[in-house]
Amino acid sequence: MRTVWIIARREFRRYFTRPVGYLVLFLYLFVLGLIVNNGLQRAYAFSLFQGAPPPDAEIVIGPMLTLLVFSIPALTMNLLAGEQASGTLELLLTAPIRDWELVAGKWLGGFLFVVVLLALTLIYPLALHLLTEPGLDWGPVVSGYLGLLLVSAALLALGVAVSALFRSQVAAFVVTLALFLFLWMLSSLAGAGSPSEGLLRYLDFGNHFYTAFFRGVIDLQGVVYYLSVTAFGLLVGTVIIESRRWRG
Amino acid sequence: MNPTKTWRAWLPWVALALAVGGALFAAGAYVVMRTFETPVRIALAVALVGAAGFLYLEPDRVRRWLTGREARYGSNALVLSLAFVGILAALNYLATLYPQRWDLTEDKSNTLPPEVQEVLDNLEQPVKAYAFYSANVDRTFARETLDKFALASDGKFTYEFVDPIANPGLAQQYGVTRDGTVVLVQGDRHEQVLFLSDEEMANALARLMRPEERVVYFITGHGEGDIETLGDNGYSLLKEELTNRNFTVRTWSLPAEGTLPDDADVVVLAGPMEDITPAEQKALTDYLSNGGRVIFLFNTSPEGAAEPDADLTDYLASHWYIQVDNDVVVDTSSPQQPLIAVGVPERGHPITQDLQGLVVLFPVARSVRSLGDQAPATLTVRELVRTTERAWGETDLSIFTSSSPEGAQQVAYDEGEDLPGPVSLVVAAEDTLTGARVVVIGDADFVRNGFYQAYGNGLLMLDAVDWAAGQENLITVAPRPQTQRYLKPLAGYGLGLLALSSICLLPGTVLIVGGVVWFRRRMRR
Repeated sequence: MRTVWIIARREFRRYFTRPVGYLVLFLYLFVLGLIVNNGLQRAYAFSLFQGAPPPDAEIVIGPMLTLLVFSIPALTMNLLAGEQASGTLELLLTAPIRDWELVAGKWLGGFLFVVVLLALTLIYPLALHLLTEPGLDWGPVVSGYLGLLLVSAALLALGVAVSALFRSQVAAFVVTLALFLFLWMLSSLAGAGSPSEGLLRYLDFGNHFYTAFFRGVIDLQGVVYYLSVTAFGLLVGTVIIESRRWRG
Repeated sequence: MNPTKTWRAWLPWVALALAVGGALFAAGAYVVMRTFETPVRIALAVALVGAAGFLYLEPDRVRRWLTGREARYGSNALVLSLAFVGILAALNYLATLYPQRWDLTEDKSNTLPPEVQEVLDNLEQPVKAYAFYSANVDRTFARETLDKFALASDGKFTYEFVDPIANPGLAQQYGVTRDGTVVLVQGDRHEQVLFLSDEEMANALARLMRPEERVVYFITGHGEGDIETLGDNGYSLLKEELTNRNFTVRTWSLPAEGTLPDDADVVVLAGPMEDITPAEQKALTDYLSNGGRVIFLFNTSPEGAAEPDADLTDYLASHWYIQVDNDVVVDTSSPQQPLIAVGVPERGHPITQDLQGLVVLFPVARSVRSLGDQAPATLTVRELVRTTERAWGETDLSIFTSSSPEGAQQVAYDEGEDLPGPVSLVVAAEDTLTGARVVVIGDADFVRNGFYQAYGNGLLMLDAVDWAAGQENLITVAPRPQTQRYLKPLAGYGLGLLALSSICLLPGTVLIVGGVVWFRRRMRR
């Protein structure tokens, strides 16, 4: 476990010593800021009318999943593909580190970065709280952020797995993004009433978030689903790294 | 180079490509067709032949693949991974079997109200809901609502979306005529929910659990509209939709029978053309004083024609404080058709709650007013549908007999003689002592087949029958206290400041910190 933590810390620091971390942070916060500001201005414009919808944290949490789908590939593309490109992966593989520790450490580093990113965005619900009378309903904020953490964990694990497949970071980025978009569109692939609809809706990763966490509900099904995807991604990543030892 | 040799070298790979391509095509064709049709079989055969060909041409390579070091490690990894995925799948399956949800919202807005929960708890047999939603209708709200019921029902309530366009048979079986209808099925009984909400669902469930027969009688014998006639003048659409709502619809010849049936939940008198005799009227009034429920639809009588219901309207005015005027409503909000009155429903009554802003069109209507301010305390009288101020009750009925076809267009409001708008068209009254209910509507044509589908016409009549039968509110959901939130007003440059800080503050800080780090690293090099 110690090894995992050491690798995670190293990866986490690396985000802050190279431009990609700041770039992701900047773009994420900038776009989110634009959307939140748009929502706030509209809320203020509508608040002049009777029966206007009350302001809630949806204008902050709503767009965040979409933004994560586009940010996380940038965070994971370097994790293992970078090591392969620079040839350091062979070094790591000969070090006394188990394969799963390497993969889990890389994943945890990315996860810590996302935690920081999400923590920074808390300023928006806080601002909304100060602007609202009698303050914000914090239930959906808590469940929404929990949901975002779970989604991030799952997406990062898949991203790490894809990153293990490639030497080129660009390839890792493109494939990861394509995979995310595919998983996102799954439920729209299913025809209405077709036998596969239920399964595809279950596998669609946006579905669990928007039907529960986003609306202020913590759903055990969603928690189990996201943790399973996380475990699955880490397993695939480990198998891919491991296979380098015996592949010809 | 020997061309045969090149060809020989390529052949196994062509065979392998055939095997893989055939298998993929077979899988794709099966997904599309869902049966083992000829194309699927041919593709499978090609795949088999390809695989056999490769095996025959490259036996050494296949042996190496199956028994080599890579295969050994690979199959190890595969078995481990499969076991792991199996465990994950089992965990997810368990989570779907035993759903758990915690509602964190302050007002518990994702949880069913206790009154509704009680109905679900009392369900004895499982209920299956079919939500008839075509691809054109958004399913989000329906899914949320039905999910709430399914989760809170302990497995007794399940639902399924059905596309009525792709599956018209099922829609027809349950008499679904509107996109977005939910049908609840329990055994061989079913109930429709036209406007999905927690309360409507709970009421439909409650009706399902009370399987007694509800009977609506349409009185005949005075030239009333016929419930079997299919043309524009018939009431067959109304009969069909009442049957869909589990009403038994029958006719009753009052002149022949002399009394009213004992098993009637609601009696409808739809536009009598002939006189109602004193004996018949007595039968009606006796029925009402014993707690009966009657819906009266009265037409305007042309000038000079006998008023078949004059005595009846006198009775309604004196006993029920409902004034049925001898006039015709002229509505200038549709200048082409001034004799079609556009009725705007009042909110806050079970009869109008489903209309949700839909107007009701009354062709050649007469005004029906409440005299409720003179009524005793045990009687509640309410006007439910009124025209706008651009309509009035014209007392000069000569427009019907006027020789000029533009007669109707030349009428004008005469102060002192005509009834000023807004003109009331529908009145409902309830006697809280006897439980009797009366609905009086100043038009019998608005639910004939020709007008039934227009705007809220059909719904108004259906809900009037529901209310008269006492079916409207088996369960009322008390409005839950909701925390009222509003934005604090911002003074002066507040909004601009807000925009600047939300867009620039955080990203700007990140950019500056990033820049500083980058610059310091550059300096160090």
